[in-house]
Amino acid sequence: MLIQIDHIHFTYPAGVKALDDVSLLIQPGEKVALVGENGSGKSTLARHLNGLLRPQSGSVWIGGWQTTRHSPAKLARRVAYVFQNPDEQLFQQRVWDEVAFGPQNLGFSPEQVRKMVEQALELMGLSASSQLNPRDLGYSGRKRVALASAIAMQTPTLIFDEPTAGLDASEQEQLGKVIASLHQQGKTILIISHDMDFLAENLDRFVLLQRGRIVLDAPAQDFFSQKRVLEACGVISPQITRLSQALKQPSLALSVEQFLDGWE
Amino acid sequence: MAVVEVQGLSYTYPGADSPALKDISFQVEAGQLLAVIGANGAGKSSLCLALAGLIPTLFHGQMQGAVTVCGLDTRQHHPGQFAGRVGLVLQNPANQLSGMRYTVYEEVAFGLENLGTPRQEMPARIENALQQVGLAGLGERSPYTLSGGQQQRLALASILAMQPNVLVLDEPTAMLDPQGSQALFTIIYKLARAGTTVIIAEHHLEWIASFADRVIALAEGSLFLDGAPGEVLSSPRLLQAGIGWLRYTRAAHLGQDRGVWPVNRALPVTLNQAVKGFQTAQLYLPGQEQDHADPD
Repeated sequence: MLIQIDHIHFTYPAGVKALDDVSLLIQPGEKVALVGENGSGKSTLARHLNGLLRPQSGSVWIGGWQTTRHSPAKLARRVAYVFQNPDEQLFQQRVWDEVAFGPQNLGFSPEQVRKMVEQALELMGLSASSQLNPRDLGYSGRKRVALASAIAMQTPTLIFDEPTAGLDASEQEQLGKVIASLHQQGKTILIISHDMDFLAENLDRFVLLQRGRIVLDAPAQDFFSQKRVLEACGVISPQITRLSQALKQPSLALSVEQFLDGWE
Repeated sequence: MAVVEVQGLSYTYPGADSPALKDISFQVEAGQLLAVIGANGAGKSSLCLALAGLIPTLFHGQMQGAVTVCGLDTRQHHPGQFAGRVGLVLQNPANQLSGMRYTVYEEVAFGLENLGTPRQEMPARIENALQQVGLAGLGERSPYTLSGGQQQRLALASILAMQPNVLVLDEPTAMLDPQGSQALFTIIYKLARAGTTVIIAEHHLEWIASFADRVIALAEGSLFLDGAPGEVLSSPRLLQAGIGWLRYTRAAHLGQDRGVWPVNRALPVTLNQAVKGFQTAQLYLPGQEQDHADPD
């Protein structure tokens, strides 16, 4: 499903100009990282995609739907959004109910809902926790429930805001596999994050925001070779990319494997 | 002299089947910056609560062993007696903000008022704390109009203003961008050099490798490694514990199999160590196993 953002502006009531003439075209099935300092406009931009925010000028199209003409409830069929803090979105007493809430609201039959929930729980490694109260899980467990709730809706587009924050190394690796699996199903994935190590290993296209404007939009390798722009925008490149740069590898490495292949 | 002494500490939350902390012992000297690492659920947050005396006074449950902070046994003193001596910065700033103050400035004043700090000392301490965390100029804002990262820094400022001898931070960078994280580590590093004992639970291994004096690693409630960052962060036992390695360490380890990193050389935990190590390894033929000096 094509996402088309056309010259949008957005200023918060307090006068903070969060988006200043942003245009972006995302093809179906792309894996896009949205990066930039705190306050650069990443979350504001992402919230325009599911209709939580509406542009004050310009337009946002999700497939053929313009976000200003549809309710967020309807847009939820096409875009699922996972907040940074899971506690902002969890409210059911059981993990199962939490994950089923989205598909039920989209009007799927009980049998379909059951399948969707089971698949999402399985993918997030939560099958054994389905009867627990999300509040009894640790932070990362609640975070996985929030991700499962979004995945269960089987929308063509998924947006994750800081999905790796608070996850440990093995949970991050698991999340990488989930993203690969969603990508294989043809989903469009948009991730807001400061975790460049994770992004470089798992996503293809990088969009950099600074003070509400897109200052760089490039495939991962080209993106991380723009050292001066990245520095000016407070982006610290992935560990392995910095190592690759310091050792002057001709082709910039984005993963440990690429680094070693280029070193031999 | 040890400012923090943990002796045989075990703790089980009320109603829990298994202990969150199992027979943990370590001491921390004044002015040391100690990092605590561990997978989620390994006991990092519980240890932070025990160091601040909230376990066992506020959280009941079963505690064995003893925790002594600034000479006070946590079992025998009320948390109020630790306030001012030990500062705890929680993982989620929303749990830390008082909810009783309308401005950022008053929020930082809250702890000082409770400590009975003389009024004339307060403005300088508040402004200094806000300055340190980069919130100068936001004093008149409501804490609840701040971003998550700013709230996290406000929580830190509120603690810094109290000038504790021991500062305990539980994953304080979770909501910060790289600039915010770097600023935070710079602040705590300076505090440690000035004599404050700092204990920080943190996932981000690169900051730890650069700033910590010492690292302890927890798995399933037990302390299984305790040593210098270079030694602990390159231990293969971190992989089994779900903590993982820095990419530098992983690259060198996999490089051993491919003959691009000498098998008997220490694995790197910083960019500099990795750069020097890979550069000098090139001088030797693959498979050659001479004893090289540590790259640093």
